[in-house]
Amino acid sequence: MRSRGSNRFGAGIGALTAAAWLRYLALGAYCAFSLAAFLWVFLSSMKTNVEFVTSDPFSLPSRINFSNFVTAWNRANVGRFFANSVVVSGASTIGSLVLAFPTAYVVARMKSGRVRWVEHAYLTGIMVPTILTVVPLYLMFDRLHLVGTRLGLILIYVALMMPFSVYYLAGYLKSLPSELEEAAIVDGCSLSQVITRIVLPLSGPALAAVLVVNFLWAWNDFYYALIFLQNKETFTIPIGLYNLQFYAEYSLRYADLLAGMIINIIPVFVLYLFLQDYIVKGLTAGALKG
Amino acid sequence: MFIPFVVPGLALYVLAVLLPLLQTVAFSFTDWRGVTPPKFAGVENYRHVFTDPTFWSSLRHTLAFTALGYVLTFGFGLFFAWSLTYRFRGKHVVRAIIFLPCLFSVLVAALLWKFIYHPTLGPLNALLSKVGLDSLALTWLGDVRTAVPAVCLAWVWQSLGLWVLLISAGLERIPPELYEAARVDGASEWAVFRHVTIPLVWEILRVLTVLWLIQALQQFAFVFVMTKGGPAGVTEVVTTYIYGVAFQSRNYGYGMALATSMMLVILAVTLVVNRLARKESVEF
Repeated sequence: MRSRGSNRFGAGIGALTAAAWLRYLALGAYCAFSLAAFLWVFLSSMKTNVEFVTSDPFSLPSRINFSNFVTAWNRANVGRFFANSVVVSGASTIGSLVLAFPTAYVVARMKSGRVRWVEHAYLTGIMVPTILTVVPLYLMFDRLHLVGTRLGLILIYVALMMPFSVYYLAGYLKSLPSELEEAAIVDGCSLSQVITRIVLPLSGPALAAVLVVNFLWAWNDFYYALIFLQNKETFTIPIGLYNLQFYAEYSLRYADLLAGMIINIIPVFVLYLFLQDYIVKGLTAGALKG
Repeated sequence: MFIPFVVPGLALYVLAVLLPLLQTVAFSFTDWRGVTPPKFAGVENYRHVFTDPTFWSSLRHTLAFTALGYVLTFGFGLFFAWSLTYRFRGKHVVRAIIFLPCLFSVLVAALLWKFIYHPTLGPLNALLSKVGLDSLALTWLGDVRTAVPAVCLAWVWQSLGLWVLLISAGLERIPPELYEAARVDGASEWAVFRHVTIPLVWEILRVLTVLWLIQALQQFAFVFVMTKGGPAGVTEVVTTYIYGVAFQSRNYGYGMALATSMMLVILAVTLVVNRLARKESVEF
């Protein structure tokens, strides 16, 4: 019996049914649109301010010109926003791994009632509508003088990353055989030695998936940055660009904004290029945990 | 023995996620405005919520966004995921292109679509006038008739990739023999989709629908960035209204009463949908 795949396309172009035409046409049109949209932003980011406002939106830039990126980076503070984003996303991602990995190990390996209680606390968190519970968090951080600081945002990101990180890492650790760890404990290893010397080196793929999913989430977050950051010195890229937008509209200087958008997505492209499988695995598991 | 490994993360998580959930409900019964300490106000806030026309209109808009977003996301999501079960050249590229926008910041996606819709600088109206359809060129985000679908489209485009991915994961679990059997029996492609594919992914679709609803009913960024609730308030959703009440008017107590009410709405909607979908699946 032919496999499903060869049955469907192996017959060749001439045999395409109406349904097949519809599928390829729809996929093709959708992808063409998305590519055109990326390309439009990229080409527009090379136009001068005057050119962008006066020329046909479909015209090509008058020359290959990356000076907008330099201006955006320096004069429009995108460089500073970028550095803030690296610090905030990097620190919160590392923080989430450092805190979630031992927790995940305990959840995966220990059977006591109190451990189940911890697991349930994290599983509850997956269903909390966190967008709606931000007001008391803001007031709490305000009293702790953490509003407007990068540290405050890092702490919030770590807390919000915990449920997914623990869930994903614990799921992975449960799939590892525990004989090696038991042998190590018999030989006198402490729990922290077991975690760092035996389990950690085996957990590369799971850590990579959690790392890249958490990093991308923090890199792209707009909501918490909007509420918890208040001045240019601490802005991450999304909130920085959001504020740049008002300036762009007011003074018709769109070049910085378009270049800033490209700068924001370049690291995402790079991560996707190299870590595509981890991203896909992490996001699929992350959404299906519910 | 395990306590030092668990406590630091758990403490931070309880403080920043679980405690605010309880506080939102508790402080919704106070008149807190930030300056003076919160005073118990009974159900006063909730009496206000019930008679607040902006809350009801923003709730209607949230439900409209959610309904339209659902039809688009799961309609296209299911269609694309199903199309991607077939083998064809360039499949991986197509899959990657559909997926990419959901790795972008919602802010970048919202700005991109704001440019697309821009009445004079944007490519959409330029395209319409190029093909002689000037009369169709509108101020898409500034027109009460088009603002809601325009914002919705941007949001669906940005998030679609993830849902295609998740629906695909469900479709891949269906054993190919079932398709073969149906086709041997002479079933048309549509019949196979309707009577084999859909019933077999129904459970997964139900779970995904609930997950999607919880996020969709809290949608904030696209409206906030693209229209700020305008024009004439037609795109104001509950979350943008709460943001205004809490962080602009600094009326925290009332903001938390609105948030608590919205949590109840989300709970009710997801329970009802879950229930209806479960009944439906019995028919197969």
